[in-house]
Amino acid sequence: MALRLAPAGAQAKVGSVPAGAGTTVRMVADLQRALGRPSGNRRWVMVIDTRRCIGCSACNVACVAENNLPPGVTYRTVREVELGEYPKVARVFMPTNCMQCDKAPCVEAANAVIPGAMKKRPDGIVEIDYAKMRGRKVFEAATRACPYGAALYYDDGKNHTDGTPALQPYEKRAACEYGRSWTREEPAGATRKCHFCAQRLDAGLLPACVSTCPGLAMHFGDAAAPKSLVTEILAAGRARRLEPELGTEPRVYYVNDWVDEIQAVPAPASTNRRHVNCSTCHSFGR
Amino acid sequence: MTDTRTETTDITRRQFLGSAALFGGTAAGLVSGRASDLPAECAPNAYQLADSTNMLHTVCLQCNTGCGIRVKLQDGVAVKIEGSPYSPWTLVPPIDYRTPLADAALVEGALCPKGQAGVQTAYDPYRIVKVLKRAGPRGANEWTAIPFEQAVREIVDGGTLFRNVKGKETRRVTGLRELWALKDAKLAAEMSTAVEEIRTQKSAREKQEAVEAFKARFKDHLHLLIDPEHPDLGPKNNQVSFVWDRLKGGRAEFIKRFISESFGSINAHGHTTVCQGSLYFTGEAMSDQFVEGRLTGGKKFYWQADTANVEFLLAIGSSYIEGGYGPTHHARKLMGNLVEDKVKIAVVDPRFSKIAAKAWMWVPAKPGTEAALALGMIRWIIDEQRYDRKFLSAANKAGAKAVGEQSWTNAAWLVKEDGSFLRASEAGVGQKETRTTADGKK
Repeated sequence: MALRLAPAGAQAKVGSVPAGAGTTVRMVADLQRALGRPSGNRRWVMVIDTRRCIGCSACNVACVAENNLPPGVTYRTVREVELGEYPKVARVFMPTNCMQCDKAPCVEAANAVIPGAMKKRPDGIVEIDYAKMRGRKVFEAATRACPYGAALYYDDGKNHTDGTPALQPYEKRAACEYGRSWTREEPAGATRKCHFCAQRLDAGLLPACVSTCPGLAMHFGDAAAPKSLVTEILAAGRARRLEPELGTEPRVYYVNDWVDEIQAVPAPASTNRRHVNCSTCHSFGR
Repeated sequence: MTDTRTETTDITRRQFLGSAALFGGTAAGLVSGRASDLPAECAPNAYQLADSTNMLHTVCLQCNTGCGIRVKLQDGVAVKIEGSPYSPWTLVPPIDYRTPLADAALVEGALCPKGQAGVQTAYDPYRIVKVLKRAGPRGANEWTAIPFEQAVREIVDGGTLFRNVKGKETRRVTGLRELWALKDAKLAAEMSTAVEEIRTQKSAREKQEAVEAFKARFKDHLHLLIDPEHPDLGPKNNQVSFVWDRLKGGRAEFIKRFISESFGSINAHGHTTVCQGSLYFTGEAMSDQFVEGRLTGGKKFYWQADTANVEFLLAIGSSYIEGGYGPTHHARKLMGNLVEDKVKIAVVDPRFSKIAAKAWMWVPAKPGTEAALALGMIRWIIDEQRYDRKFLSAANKAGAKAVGEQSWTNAAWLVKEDGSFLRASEAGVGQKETRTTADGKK
C-alpha cells in the first residue's frame, strides 16, 4: 500500500480534546484529565447500562480487532437471555468482560499456581504477565476462581484465517498490550482477558467497546475524579456491582432497571430458576 | 473543554510521550510490572493507532447506510475501523467539521458490528483478486487465472477465446472493439430522432413505411445497426450491457460516462434491494404533489425517521436498531431517549426482534395480517376521535394555509370502489370542476 505513514516510534500527532456536546467527548475530556494525574490516584471504572444495550455485539467485534484476538478469545462478550413464555417474553442483553475486581479471586488462584502470573495495577486494571501465565493449568485455576464466569480465555495460537488460502495481514500484525508490543505468536499459550484497552487509555483513547457502542451503553472514566461522568453516575446511586456479597469489589458497574420487570415475567416452567437477576446471565454458559 | 491541558499537568505528557519514544525505547525494560504513570509505556513499539497520520477518513460500504468512518493503519495494513467523529451518522452530535485531524483523533464515533468487521471484508482470503477465465463448460466451476492485461485484450478484441474448452474450440466471441460500431455522435442523434418518428406511427403499415424511409436515409450506415429491419433496437453498441450493484461515491457518474456517453450503449442497469426500494418509493410517493388531477412528482426519495425527537415509534416489520438504515445513529438517539422515558416503542413483528426487546409493546402479528391491524387502528382512531381534525381538514395547499398548517393531506378524501377519488359533483355537492393543465388545456 503506497501510503505515507508515521513510522513506529515517531512522535504521535495527537492533539487536544475537541469541543463537543456529546457524552463521548465528555468522557474523552475526563480521560485526558485523569491521565494528568499519577496512576495510583486514578480509579478506572466502567458503568454498563444494559437498558441502552441493543445486543449488536459491535463491542465484541471492535475488541477483537483492537487487540488482534484469535478465535475463541473475546475480551468482551454480549450474553443474551430469553425469558418468559410466549407472548409474555423478554430478551436481555448483557455486555460482559473482566470486572477488574479490587479483590480479584483469579489473581490469587493464578499466582498460587504460577507466582507473578497476574497482578493488580495501581489504577485498578488486573494485568496478566504473558511471559508467566502460560499453559492450561493456571488458566483453569483462574477461570474456576472467577465468580462471573468466562472472563478469561486461553489463547491456543490459532488464527481466524487458518486453513484459508492465506493468513491475512491484519492477523499477523503485532498488537500493543500491557505496555508493549506483542507479535501474534508471543501470547499463544497464555491466558488472555480484558484490560480496559490499557494501550488505548495510555494513548488517551477510550476502550474500544465504549466508543463503538451504538447505544452508548458503556461509560468509562476515573471514579476518583470528582467531576468525571462516571463519578456522577455512581453518585446517582443507580449503578450496582454484581454479586456484592462475594466481596470481590469489581470495577464494572451495571445500571439495569429491567431486573425487577423481568422478575415479574414468569420463569419458564421447564427450569428450576427461582428468580432472575444479573447472575442469570453471568452464570449462563458456565 | 476545548483544551484540557490547562487544567492538568498534562501539558508535557504528550510531548514527553513522544520524545521518549523518539529517543529510542527508554521504557523497553518496563514490560510488565510497570507503573503506568511512566509515560513511554508502549515505546519503542509506539501505539500507532492513536496517530492521526495513520488514519484514513472514508465511508463505510458494509451496508448502504454509508456511515463516515476512520480506518486505522498499522505499518500500512488496515487493522481497526472507528466511526468518524465528524459524521452525524456515527457521533451524535458530531464534532465541528473544522476540528484539526490531530485533535479529532482522540474522539471516536460509534460503529456497528458490520462496520467494525470491514477489515475482514477488505482482507478476505477468498476475495477474488485475479481475473478468472472459464476453463470448462458453463457451470463446471473450472477456471484459470489470467493476467489483467490479457483480460482487457480478450474483452476488447474478442476471438476464439475458448479454444481449450471442449466443444467450444471454434466459438468466436465478439469483442468490445467490434461492438463499438456507431462512433459519430451527430449521426447517433439523427438516428435516434428518426427512430422516434417510427415509434410515433400508429398503424403497422405506417411503421413499415417509416422503417423503409429510415433505411433509405441512412443507407450508408445500416451495418452499424443490430438489425436494419428494426432500427429501434439501436446500434450494435447496445449489445454491450453493463450491470452493476450498488451506486455510491461517484460510481453512477463514472458508469454513465463510460457506458452511455463514451461507448454509446443504452444498456446500463443498476439495482437496489427490495427493502431499500420500499423505503425509497414510499418516500417518493409521500412527497407526491397533487398536479393536474393526480398525485405525482415526488422528489423526496430518501427519508429518515426523526428518531432523536420521536415520542412514539411504531416499527412494523422493521428491525430498527439491527438494520433500518443506520443502527449507529438510530440507537444513539433512541436508547438515550428510551432511558429517559422520552420515547415509547411498539413493534409489530412475528419475530421478537432486538427492537422488540426494547419495546413497550410487542405485537406478534402473523405475516400478512399487518394491513388488518392497520385498518383496526384506523377504525379505533376514527371511533375514538383520536385524530388531528385541523390537519385533516387541510385537503390542499390553500386549505393548509387557511388553517395555519405547514402541510396538507388527502387522508380525508373519499375513495370510490374503483380506487379513484370521489368528486364533489359526484356526491351532489357543487358543480363538476374543470382543471387547467400547465399547457393551458382544459
